[in-house]
Amino acid sequence: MPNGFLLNKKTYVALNLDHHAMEERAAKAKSTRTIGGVSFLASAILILAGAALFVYQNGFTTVPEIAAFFRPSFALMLFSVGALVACFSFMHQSEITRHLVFIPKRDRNSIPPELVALETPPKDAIDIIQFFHPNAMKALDSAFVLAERFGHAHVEPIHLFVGAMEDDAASILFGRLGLSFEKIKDPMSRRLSTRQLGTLSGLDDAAEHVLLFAFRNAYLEDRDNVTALEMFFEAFKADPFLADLFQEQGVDAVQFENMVDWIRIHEKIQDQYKRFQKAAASKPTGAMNRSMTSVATPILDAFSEDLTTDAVFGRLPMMIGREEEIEQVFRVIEGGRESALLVGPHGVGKGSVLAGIAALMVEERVPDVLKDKRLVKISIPQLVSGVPVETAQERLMLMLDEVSRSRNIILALMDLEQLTADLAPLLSDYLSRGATFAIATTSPQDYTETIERSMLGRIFQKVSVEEPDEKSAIRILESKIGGIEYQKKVIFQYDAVEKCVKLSDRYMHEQYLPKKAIEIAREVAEQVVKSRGENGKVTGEDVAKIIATKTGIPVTNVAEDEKMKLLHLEDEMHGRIIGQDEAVKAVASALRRARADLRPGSRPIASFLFLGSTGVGKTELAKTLAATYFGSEQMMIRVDMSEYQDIRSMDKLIGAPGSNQGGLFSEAVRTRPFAVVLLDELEKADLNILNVFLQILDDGRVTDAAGRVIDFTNTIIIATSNAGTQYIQDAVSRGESTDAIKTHLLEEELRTIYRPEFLNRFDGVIVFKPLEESQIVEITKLMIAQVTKRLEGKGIGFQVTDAEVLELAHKGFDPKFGARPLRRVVQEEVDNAIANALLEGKVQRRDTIVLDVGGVMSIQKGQEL
Amino acid sequence: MKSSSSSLVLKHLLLDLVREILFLPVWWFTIGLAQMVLWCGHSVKHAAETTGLTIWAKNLFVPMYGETSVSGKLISFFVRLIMVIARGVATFVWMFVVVGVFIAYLLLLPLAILGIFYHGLGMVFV
Repeated sequence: MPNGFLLNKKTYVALNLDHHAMEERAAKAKSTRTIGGVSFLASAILILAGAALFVYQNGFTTVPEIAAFFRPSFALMLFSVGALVACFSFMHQSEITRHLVFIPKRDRNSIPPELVALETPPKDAIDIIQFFHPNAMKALDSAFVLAERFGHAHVEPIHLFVGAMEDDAASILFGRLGLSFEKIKDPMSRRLSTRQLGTLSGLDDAAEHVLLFAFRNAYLEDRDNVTALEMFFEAFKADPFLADLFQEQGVDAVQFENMVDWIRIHEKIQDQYKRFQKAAASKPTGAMNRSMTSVATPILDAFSEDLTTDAVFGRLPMMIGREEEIEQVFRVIEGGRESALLVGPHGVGKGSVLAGIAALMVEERVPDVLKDKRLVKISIPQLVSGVPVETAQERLMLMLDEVSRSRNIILALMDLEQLTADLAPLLSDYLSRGATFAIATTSPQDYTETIERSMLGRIFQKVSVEEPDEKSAIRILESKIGGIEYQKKVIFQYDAVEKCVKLSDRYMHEQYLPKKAIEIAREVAEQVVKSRGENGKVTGEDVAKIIATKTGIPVTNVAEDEKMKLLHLEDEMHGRIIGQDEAVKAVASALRRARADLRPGSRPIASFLFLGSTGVGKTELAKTLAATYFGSEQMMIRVDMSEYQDIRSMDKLIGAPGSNQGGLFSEAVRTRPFAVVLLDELEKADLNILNVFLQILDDGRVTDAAGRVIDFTNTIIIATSNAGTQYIQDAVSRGESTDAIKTHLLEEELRTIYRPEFLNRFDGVIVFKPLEESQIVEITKLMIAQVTKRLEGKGIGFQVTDAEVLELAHKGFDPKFGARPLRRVVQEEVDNAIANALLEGKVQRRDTIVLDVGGVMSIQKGQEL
Repeated sequence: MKSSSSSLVLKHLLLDLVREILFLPVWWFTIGLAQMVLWCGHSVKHAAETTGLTIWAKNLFVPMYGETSVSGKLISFFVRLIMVIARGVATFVWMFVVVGVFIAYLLLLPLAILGIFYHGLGMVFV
């Protein structure tokens, strides 16, 4: 049963798709092309030859008499035949043009058509094949050739896919996705060899659907024709094998679709540009409108920028997306003759909306009240800077006077909140009289703070400009890439575009899409052109590298040597942490999960509660973590929870209500969102403070007193607690297992201090066992190694005998305080002795200090140079 | 097209050629003529738009440069009148060109056929 679409009460179907009809169609097309070409060529040759012969026969110098034209001659006969053939050629071309059909234009509000099954297509059904662009016909033809060559019974989506692959758009798609034909050739031919053999009859149902949906896409995209690209895309969607094949090459269906979108956007921009150029030719630049009713506006010109003129000269970017917002602005202006205020965070594209409106004004595709007008952007800082209030007011009044006399100006005001309290009433009074409109922009925060309840709030109608979602942001960035590529002379792969949006969205929370992604793209392009020269390819890895250097978070793909490092993370961490196997393992696993990108995006990277007595390595492990994951020990925000013992300290945490400022803690995280957050001695904090952390652990964010959302999704949160220390020590000495200790701690000891739901929020509650004397020896060695390293810088060697190490360890061991006393012992016995020796001048470069039992120090003299 | 045989193409070629040759005189003075008339109309309209004639005519009584005094209005009216005339002349000149093209179209086919017969027969019989 055939299928089709119903558009404006007409049925659109794919007719005559059997092999014979296709052949007829192609033969007909070829004959038409041949006749056109030959007749044009023949007429040109005949006319030129006739004219040349005529001139030759009548002499070059003299103007022929009228009579010469009436003298029968071969030259003039040739000429006449040429003219006749020219008439024929003209008719032939005109008929081709006259019979060109375009896909009907879609009503913006109509719902996308659904495929309907038809018993028999109605007599007046329209054949969609006539809307196919020559490149699509060529692809269709190639599909038939392919099926015929393999002896297949039907043309299937895969044939159409291969057929369309010869098209330029497909090559661009492959290039941008970083794929090569070579890699998919073999699986593709294996797939082709499994198709049903037989006499080629025509398209099977799936392939027919591909054509119909390609038509539907072109209709929804407002295209005139169905291009090979649409066929390519629909064929891809129709055959699951192709999705599998591309997935194996690292391209999923969403990426494929976004890439198709990119090519569509590119074509759309080209169309838009051509149309715009045509329109721009007749749009006046400068103060005067076409009807010459406006007046010169010298004062306004001094403090403003004419956006319509900028658009005419191509100084403004082409706009993609945001049609919805522009439509809303037009409705506001048309409906109530009011001014519009675009409200959105910085970087979401309010300026682009203004540029888009300016471009539409150039094309005069605007409501009548905006026709033959210019959009003038007033610079508020220029207006007010360096002069007393009275002068600024005077300037504004003169400017507004010029605007009303000129009558062809629409005002644009970026960042309306900059207008001071002295100037705002002037503007609102002026606009309320209805002399002209203004389109202004502001941020949501400024809107609520300064504009909403002021005079201006009543004059302006709010139009929200939201941050685009990931897909729209990718589309917007795709529309900008052409410009960046041209400017920087590099080539972006799709992966790079996607990563610009995804990674900036994930790691740069203080800025907004699409601006932050566009900035990253520019930066990466700059970097690539520096390192690889012109025409270098920008890949996703390049983007990841830039993000990694900006944030300190390793976001690049895991390289081979790093793989080994990650798999042996425990060993490396044990280089700094002695014992505490369970803790090290838990932390290392969390890091591996984070690095393999398996963590949920809406919570902190990891969160742990470290339990154990002082000096057992809790803080040391946190430091190690900061160094391993964020690249430096300094990437740690340390918060002493004993400073948050009552509810009033909430102000210090997230800021005092009404102060419009963040707290010490929230500000620290806001400015350094990529760090280990170490909450020391958690048990000392007030219960209400812990409730705030409950939310942070759960949602990965908290709102400060200034209304800013502080992002914790890129932090690792570690809380340490001494609660239950006595129990742990007793239990360990009784020889209880770690699991048993933990269970008892959670069920008994900690219940009085933390609520169970709070403890549950941590990824892991880890018990640090008290240190044993043998471990203290190891730690002593570590500390001595640190001293050795410090002395190496001075060119002095340092050795400690094993006996002395044991003695130091013994002196520094205290089951209650772990390794903490040891640090003091090393300081007193080792560091002090060395310091004295250095000051007394006993030690020179190249000497080696040897420390023996009882702190006896001897110096081995180094060789003289 | 690789899959279409050359005989099929040849068949279409001959059929189309014959059909189109026979169709030519009829087409020239029906469909072709109608298209030509349309083109001439568009062309003149476009010329009027380029010279801004319609806008100037529409704003004949609107003062220029926001001058609303009586003398300003008066001067403005006359300047606009002159501009409308000047721009009208320019549009008119273009219209002549268009009319010329149209006449050439009307004459081209008959003249070509006439020329072939006149010169062809003339050479044979003279």
